[in-house]
Amino acid sequence: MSGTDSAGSRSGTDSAGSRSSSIVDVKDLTVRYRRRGSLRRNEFTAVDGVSFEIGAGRTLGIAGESGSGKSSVARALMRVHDPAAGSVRVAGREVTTLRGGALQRFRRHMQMVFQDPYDSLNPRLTVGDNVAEALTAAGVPRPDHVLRVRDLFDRVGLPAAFTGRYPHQLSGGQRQRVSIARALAVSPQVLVCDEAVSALDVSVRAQILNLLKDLQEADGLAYLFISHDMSTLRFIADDVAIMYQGRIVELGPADEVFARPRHPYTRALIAAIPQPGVGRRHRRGLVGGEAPSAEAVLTGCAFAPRCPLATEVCREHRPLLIAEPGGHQAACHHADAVGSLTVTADTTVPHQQGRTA
Amino acid sequence: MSRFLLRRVPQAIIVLFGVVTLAFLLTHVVPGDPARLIAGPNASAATVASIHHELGLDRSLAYQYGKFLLGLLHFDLGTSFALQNTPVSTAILRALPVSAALAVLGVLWEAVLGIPVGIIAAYRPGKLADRATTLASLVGLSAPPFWVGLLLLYLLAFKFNLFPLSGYEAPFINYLILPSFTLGLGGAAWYARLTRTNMLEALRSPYVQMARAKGMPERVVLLRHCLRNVLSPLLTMLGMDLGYFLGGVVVIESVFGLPGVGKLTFDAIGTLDVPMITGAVLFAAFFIVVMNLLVDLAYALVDPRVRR
Amino acid sequence: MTAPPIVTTPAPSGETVATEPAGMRRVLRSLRHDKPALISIVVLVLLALAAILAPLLASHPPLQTYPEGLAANGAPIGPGHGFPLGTDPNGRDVLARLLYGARVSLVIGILANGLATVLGVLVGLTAGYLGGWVETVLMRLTDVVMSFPILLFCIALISVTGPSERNVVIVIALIYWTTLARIIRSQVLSLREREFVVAARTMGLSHWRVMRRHLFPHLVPTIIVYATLGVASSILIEASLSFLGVGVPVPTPSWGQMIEQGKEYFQIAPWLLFAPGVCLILTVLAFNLAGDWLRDLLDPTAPERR
Repeated sequence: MSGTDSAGSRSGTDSAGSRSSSIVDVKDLTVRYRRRGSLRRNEFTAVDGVSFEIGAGRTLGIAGESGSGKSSVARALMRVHDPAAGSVRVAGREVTTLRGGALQRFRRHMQMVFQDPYDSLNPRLTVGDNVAEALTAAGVPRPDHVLRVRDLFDRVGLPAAFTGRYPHQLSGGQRQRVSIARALAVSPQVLVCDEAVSALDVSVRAQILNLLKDLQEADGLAYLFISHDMSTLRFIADDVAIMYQGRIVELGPADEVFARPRHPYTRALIAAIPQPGVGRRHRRGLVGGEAPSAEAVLTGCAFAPRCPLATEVCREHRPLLIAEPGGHQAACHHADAVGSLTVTADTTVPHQQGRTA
Repeated sequence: MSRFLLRRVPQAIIVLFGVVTLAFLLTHVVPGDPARLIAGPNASAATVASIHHELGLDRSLAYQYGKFLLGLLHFDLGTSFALQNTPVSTAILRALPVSAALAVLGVLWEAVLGIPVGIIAAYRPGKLADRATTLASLVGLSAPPFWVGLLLLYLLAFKFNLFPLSGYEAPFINYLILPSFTLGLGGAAWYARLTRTNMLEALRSPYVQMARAKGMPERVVLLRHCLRNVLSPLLTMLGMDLGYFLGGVVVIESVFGLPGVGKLTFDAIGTLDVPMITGAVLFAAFFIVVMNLLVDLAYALVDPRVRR
Repeated sequence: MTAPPIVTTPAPSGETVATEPAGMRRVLRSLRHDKPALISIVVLVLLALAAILAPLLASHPPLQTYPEGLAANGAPIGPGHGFPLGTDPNGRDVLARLLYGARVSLVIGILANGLATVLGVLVGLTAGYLGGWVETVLMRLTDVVMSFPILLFCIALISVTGPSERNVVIVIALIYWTTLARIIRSQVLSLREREFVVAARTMGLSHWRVMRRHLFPHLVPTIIVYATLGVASSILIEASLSFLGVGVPVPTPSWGQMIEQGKEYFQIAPWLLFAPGVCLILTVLAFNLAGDWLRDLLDPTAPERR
């Protein structure tokens, strides 16, 4: 446990609302996947030089469409798939180089809640035993397991009587609560939620999100919350990072990003949020076309082919992530024009209208 | 395709190298002393020691391994203990034609018996013909080939005098029919099962449903539309079986007294002729690796998806 | 090593039954519908009883040679005459040798295959779970061992080590683990991407515990099926080795060796072939049928075996 105190005072990214006590500090994270069974290097870059911080007790939301690399970020952080380059520091400690026992011990600091409540619990074990496995990992003596499991079930709002049931006897929301209990069992400081509520019904989703918020307030947990759903992020995230094609294109405090997006892609995602009382027809109006294949070699801005603001400069030079005062960063040559972007009238988010310059 | 070759050929070489190394280790490191085997149970310690020296067994393992590898590069598998002054490779090459003839005929029997039976079984699944052939093929898979061979000898050669009992003279084919049939029977049972499964799968596929819907005769549907899809995996397996059989089929050759590689090995067991046995194993493994490689290449030629 | 040779039966349905505990009631119901399986299990039980009760069932000791058991010209005598299934060329009681031979076949078949199963599961599980160079080394080793013809490999090893029951068991296990190792590895490769396995890994459990508690239970149906089918093959290999004279050493009776001893006399004493041969076929067939039944019951997605 060395260098905890060095965590705060690093470089200029004292931004994104993280104050100066970040618990997770990611720098230039790059993730590549190798295609199986080939002699020559044949790799595909899923995450390309991503940097962000998460402050203790805060939530960073990552948004983006499927294939944007947001899940790869989670897998790299959890050391499920080793990153190709970059650094990940958790509580001041570099984790990308950990191996063996040290890696095993580190895992207690960071836990993950998975997307699919039907696959994330071991079907051969009772849900109580599923949680008890994490207690074993944390080195809790076996005699204490029963009590601790009941305690954890209580915290996630499940009756203690459920401990003896098998996953298939529970509903999706209940299973997700078990997953959260399992993650909490090792008393982590960071919880990575990879599309943790995406598979749930809307009403259940709200319950789980509220549970997560309560847990955060009680324990000071930091969340990395990955979702393709902007309305979920608006509810849960303090800061938001928008990913496109393996890179962060916009990063900033959530209210700031939602109110004043500085990247046309962000703008489009926000415009796609369903609004009560607004017709369905025009909602998807802004992001035309599809993301280019991840394998295509692009110069310039990856979003240019789909962007209504794209000009010559976009096709030739890749925009850098530039920070404004207030910690709002965006990677767009025309960031200032994003606000004036005309969106099909009825899809504009109401409170944005006042700010349109 | 060249990409595929570039990946697949070195792989086969690595496996071949592993085969040689493992065969060496098994015959040199495993407890048991070939010198004692050669000398016989009553030999004095001095005799054993001198044989030890003669075989180079008193040298370091690395030295012996090096010598072994070097010899292999010149197709030198060592000299037989039992057949005086005969190089193992010469003895094997002399016996190879018999084993090769047996192998080719055996594979033919597998295909000729197995595939039609599988088709008949798949024609009306669950009906009498299907159940009968399925059970028969299970029995075929469960019967030890040496026993089947002896039974056939008893019935067809001894009782009814249709075939010669044992040996190998002109006309050779007379001496090959029963052994190759016995050899092919077990495989035929396996191919019947496989053909049936693949046929049933093909019959459920949309393009066959379509052909039926167009009103094609069932015979055409079965033979033209299904069979083609069933055959290509079977052909690759037949190719691998051929490689397997080429190395000599000890049991069959010893039952029928055929002077092939298998019989050579069988006789070597009796005289504890370790170089001969090791040579035969390496020889057989070589065929298996090479046939696997050829089958893969053939597959890649036919099916571009495999190449990657 | 090779892409196409592993031929798999297409999965009839998507979700495996295997994830639900197979209740005793389901087993019985399935047995009622599958007559061959029912018969094969009865045969196996009878066989096990015969092997266990051999001293009680046999009317003669298996190793005793009887002068009255040979005809005047030295030929074995046929069934009847005080020897229910006749005598062998040494004047020994065939029935007694058959019963004691069942012990040898079953014990060697089960032990050899048990050992092979342990090896195969260990190799497949570690290779599939750990990946990386461990996987490369283990799977290349599997390729190498698979390139040896089974019988020749056994013969070569036994000719160096000398025939004995123990060596037969070890040698069969040493060559026979490969198929299972490949099957287990491919199952582990897909299992390890399941979220509950990733969860187990990321919660900081040891590799050993993840393999034992989160992967292994999901492999049990496959292991049971292939262990059952493998006993059939192991018994056949043992019989072949004994037939060739490198299996169970004389005078311990084994079916393969009985056939070998009878083959010189088959023209005048065909019972010497029929009795052990029929026993062998029935035993192997019963294990095969039971294995097929277990596959249907436990794991419809498992590949066909060779």
